Amino acid sequence: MPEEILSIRNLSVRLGRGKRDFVSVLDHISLSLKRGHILALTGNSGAGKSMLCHTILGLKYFCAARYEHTGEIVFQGIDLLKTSDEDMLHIYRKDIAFIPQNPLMIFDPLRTVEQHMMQVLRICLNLDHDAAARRLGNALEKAGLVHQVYMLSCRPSMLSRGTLQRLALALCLAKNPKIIIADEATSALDSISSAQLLHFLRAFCTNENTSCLLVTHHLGIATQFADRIAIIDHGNICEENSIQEFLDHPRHEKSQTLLKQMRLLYPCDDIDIKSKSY
Amino acid sequence: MKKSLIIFLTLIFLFIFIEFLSPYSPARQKEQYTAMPPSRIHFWHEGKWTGPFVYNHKQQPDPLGLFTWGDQYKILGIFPCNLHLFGTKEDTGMIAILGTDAFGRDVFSRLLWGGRLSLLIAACAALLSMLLSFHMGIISAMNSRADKVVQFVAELLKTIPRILLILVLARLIPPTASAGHRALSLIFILSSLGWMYWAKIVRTLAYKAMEKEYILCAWTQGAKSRNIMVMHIWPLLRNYFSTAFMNSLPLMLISEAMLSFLGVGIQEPFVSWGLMLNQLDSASNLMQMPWLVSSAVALMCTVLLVHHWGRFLHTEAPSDA
Repeated sequence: MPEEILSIRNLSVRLGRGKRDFVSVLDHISLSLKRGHILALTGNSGAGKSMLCHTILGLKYFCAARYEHTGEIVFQGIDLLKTSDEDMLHIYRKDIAFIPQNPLMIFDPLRTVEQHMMQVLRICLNLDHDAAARRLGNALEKAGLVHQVYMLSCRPSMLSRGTLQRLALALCLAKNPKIIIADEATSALDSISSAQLLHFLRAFCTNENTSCLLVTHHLGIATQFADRIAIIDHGNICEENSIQEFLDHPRHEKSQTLLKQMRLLYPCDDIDIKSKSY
Repeated sequence: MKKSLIIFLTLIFLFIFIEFLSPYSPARQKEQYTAMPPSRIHFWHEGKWTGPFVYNHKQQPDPLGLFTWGDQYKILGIFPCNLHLFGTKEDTGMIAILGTDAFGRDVFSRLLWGGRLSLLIAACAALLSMLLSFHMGIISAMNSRADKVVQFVAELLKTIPRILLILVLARLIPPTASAGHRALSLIFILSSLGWMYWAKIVRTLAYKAMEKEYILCAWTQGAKSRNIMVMHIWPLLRNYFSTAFMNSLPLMLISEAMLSFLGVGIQEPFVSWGLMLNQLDSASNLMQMPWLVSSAVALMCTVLLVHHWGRFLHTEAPSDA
């Protein structure tokens, strides 16, 4: 049984508008992520998927409103909600990688993509220029971007969203983190590239023993690439289950609706768990 | 950018070779030529062509020449030399194209030397105050505790009238201080009292920059506040730096001139534009030696030019912010 690397216990987040007017966005959430596993997080829009990612990463960087949270997010024995900025810095540098929904969020518009990625690698991993370049080259090769070297000298505004998402994934994997938080990391890619990248992510997680929180709308992606799945609805976790269990016996009403809708939308999308080839 | 580079290189050239360009040393007094109006250059003496010359105090023609030997000086303070671009061939005569002052010193030479010192002090003070204000502004935008201290100091400094504070501080410079020390202290005084206004603006701009998504996200990518300051916020504010510098340079020039005029800035035997105006302390002096106004005119022209150049830089600069 692999050990737990991230466990969220009883986490509630409330956002404030006025003085006493708080809105609950996450309500008593408990989740756990094991080493080398991929946990898919699905739910409809506005259910709180991104909010959960942002809470793990630190709400103060993402949330302009007033907020308060209770509960704990334990990562390797450290409560992320209570650590100092100093300790957080090390965790950000070495352990957690984030792929945001909008890849423009991580690339500096004033620098070329290469400058930015090199800078991140050099700062996070304390590498010299050559080592960082080698590492970046490897990651790009793995992400299937090696033939598009010209795009490295572009600024983010000149590249498409899909390309940026692939670059973001490559950067994140080059960091070789312990946890990858992928907030709809392939939302702007076509299904072929998306499948390619996710296969690659899956293989990476298995080989390097890296865990991944894979947020996605697409139940097909979730069931094909993840080990476990969690359905979130209105800030509550309705169901957390292994994929097989979820497909065979969805416990919650919401899961059943989601599955039914997916089968309506993608009638040919025959999900075959046993044919996972990685 | 090319134009700016040419102007900048020309200025550097002028700064290095100013002793060569000026015909006399600024402290050189010629008793026979006190309060002399700008010299007229003649070519015919008693109906005969003799080439360019000026009449000396004995009404004798004194021929002019290019590359003449005159007062000793040192290029960059190292290489001794006494070659001048132009001058009289004999030391008895005097060519003063902007006249001489009450002590018989060449106003043109003093204008060049004074301009160099004034500009040097103003540029250093402006640069230092800009560095200070950008640091303070960005730091106070990034750290709320530092923000309180910085803003308190800034408000405090702003409540005291600037001119008064500068005067009081300039009086604190010991009268025995050497010229270098005096110039350095002037730079510190001017810059330490000029940063508050820009720090406020920079703080607002930095606040705006920090709300950008990619800067917020940079924290979660493992960037330290220093990294964010240098790599993300500074490039956004870089254009404001040149504008701010060009705006504060005239203020520094005028402040320095004011201090020297009031006798607490640069002092004899060194020259600055403000110090040259010192002799025009009464209306009768102005009536007798109207050519002494030239340093005020030079100051005005420089201020206008700097403003113009600043506007040019502002419109030419690539605006990625």
